[in-house]
Amino acid sequence: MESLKYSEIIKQNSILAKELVGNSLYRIKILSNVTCNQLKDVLAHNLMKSNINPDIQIGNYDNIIQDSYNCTSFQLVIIHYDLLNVIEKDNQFIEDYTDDQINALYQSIISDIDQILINLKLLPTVVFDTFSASSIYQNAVCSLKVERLVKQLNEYLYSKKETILNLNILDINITLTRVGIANAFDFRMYYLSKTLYSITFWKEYVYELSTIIYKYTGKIKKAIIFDCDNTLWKGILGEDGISGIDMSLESKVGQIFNKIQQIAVWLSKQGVIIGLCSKNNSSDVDQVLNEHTDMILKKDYIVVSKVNWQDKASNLKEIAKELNIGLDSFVFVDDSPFEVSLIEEQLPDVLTLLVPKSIQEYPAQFLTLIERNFYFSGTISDIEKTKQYKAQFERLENMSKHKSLDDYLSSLNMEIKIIEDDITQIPRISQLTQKTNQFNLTTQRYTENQIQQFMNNENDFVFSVSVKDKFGESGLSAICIIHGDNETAIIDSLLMSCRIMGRNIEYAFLSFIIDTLKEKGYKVLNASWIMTNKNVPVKEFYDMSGFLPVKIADDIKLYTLTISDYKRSQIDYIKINN
Amino acid sequence: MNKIEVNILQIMADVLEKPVAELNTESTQDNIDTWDSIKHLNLVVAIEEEFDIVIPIEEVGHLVSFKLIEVIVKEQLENEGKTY
Repeated sequence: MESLKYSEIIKQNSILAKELVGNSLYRIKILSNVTCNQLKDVLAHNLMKSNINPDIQIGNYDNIIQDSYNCTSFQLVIIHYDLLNVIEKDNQFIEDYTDDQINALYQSIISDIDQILINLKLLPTVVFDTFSASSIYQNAVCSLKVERLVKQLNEYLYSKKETILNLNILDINITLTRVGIANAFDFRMYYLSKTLYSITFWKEYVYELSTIIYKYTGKIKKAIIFDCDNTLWKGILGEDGISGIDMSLESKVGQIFNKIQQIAVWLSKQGVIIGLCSKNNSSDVDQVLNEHTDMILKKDYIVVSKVNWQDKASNLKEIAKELNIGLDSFVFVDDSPFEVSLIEEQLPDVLTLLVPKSIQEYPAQFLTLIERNFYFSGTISDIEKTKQYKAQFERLENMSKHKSLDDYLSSLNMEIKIIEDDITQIPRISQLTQKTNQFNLTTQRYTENQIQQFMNNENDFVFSVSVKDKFGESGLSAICIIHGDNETAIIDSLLMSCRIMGRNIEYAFLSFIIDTLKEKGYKVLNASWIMTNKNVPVKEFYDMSGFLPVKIADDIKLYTLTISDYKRSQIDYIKINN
Repeated sequence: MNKIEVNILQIMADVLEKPVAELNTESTQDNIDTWDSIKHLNLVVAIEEEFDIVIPIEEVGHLVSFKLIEVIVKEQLENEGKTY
């Protein structure tokens, strides 16, 4: 939980806000039927610490429906519909309700839910808190009627997720369990001002909430780099030898490390990059990976390995470069306070976990960190990603065996498949806009709902590229979103996963798009590059593609292209299917 | 000023978003423009957290000046048998 006191949070907020002046605003509206003013400060603090510049507004008290008609300018709307405040308005005790009365209450709340979700359907993101019975009787014996009503309401809410793409459901029972029911509510403040939840509750709640927000603002981690000794196993390989280290399910302490390895295997299957960074002899660690029977985290799950005597900050920097992802996508786990503080000092963007001295807490601390910094969509492409990263390394190794870059690229037998407006790809396309930082010309983040709207709109086009080569499939890896207006089209977004960078696929893709726009009757194509911390490498992309710059500033470049003047790229080694 | 007084002033400054130099022992809801009803509740929460006390429901509305906050905090510390 957030350890700062509330007054310190408010104080720090004014300092953080000054540092973030000029960053684009992330506009949030909170609609609730209980007072939740303190949530505003605590949430703002949590987001600003992650460099998100929030503008948080709280709707009028108990005006969820009314305010939901007026939310068009917000990127995120949070709904907290508390059953307590509904029940407290009636002068009949709820346990005294007949089944018909309970059913009428259920019907009236679900019609509210429907109306709210309809009103908010065009927004990028909606978070709806689950209903809970805990506030109604606190620790008293829970009644069947309220419990059943809550269960039905939550089932209804979850069923909405299937059709409403922008809906995220936040299970507040997780927060209630963490802080304990006695600490979560402040009935004194509820009776005075309808402020039901304590500051303790909000401090924990914002962690759950910000995980959802990070997912839509690109602030999520992608890789975990482990030290080995006393991090993946108990003992020191160089001193205890291969038979002296312990990660056995059968051993008292070893089983804790076994659990960490189990989690790492699972993460790898979810598409998280797992790496090693250990001061050891590389051959010794290889021997453990290949021969130790208790080692679950086999070589297949490990994408990158830096086992050497170099300092770990340099190793992490090299890993970032090789994997083509930013240091702010990394988690570093080590048992040495020295190594952890070295990384914190030299690479402050890296999130670190020091293996706790009370080793029994290690799995829980690790899982908490995972929960708060990773997002698993569960799509097949995530699961395939580990294979793809490994294949990328094989490609790099292969590079040295070929003569020129063009020779090498030809030898890859690349095939790309370009598809326009395919609704089955909405989740992956949205995910790419959220996650892609480097090859991303404008860095617009879009939710599934927004992508669907582009696809539905006659004058907007969403192109996707799936890539295959002799090493395997990279899956859906590049997208381009075009808005058309009369004879002029504009490239809203053009982005490509870093896994397929450096293979000239972007030029083949752009040529295809321009051909397609020409067929559709467009004469002019406008484009822009908007600077972020990450996308400087693609600053010259449109210059190199023959676009004419019309406005150049440090942080933005605008271009135009007369389509009939465009010279297609002459890349003959990429086969295009559509 | 003793530690309790200093910390009350500091919390008032943080929550009411005023420089601490602008506040003094004469500060009240009437002479601080940012002290509205919402900030008042925030102030109560912050004071309780700092001194680890729970202000009784009847007193919450009475914390409308530095002097009253000081009186109620000291009284409550004593009632709860706590030292600060």
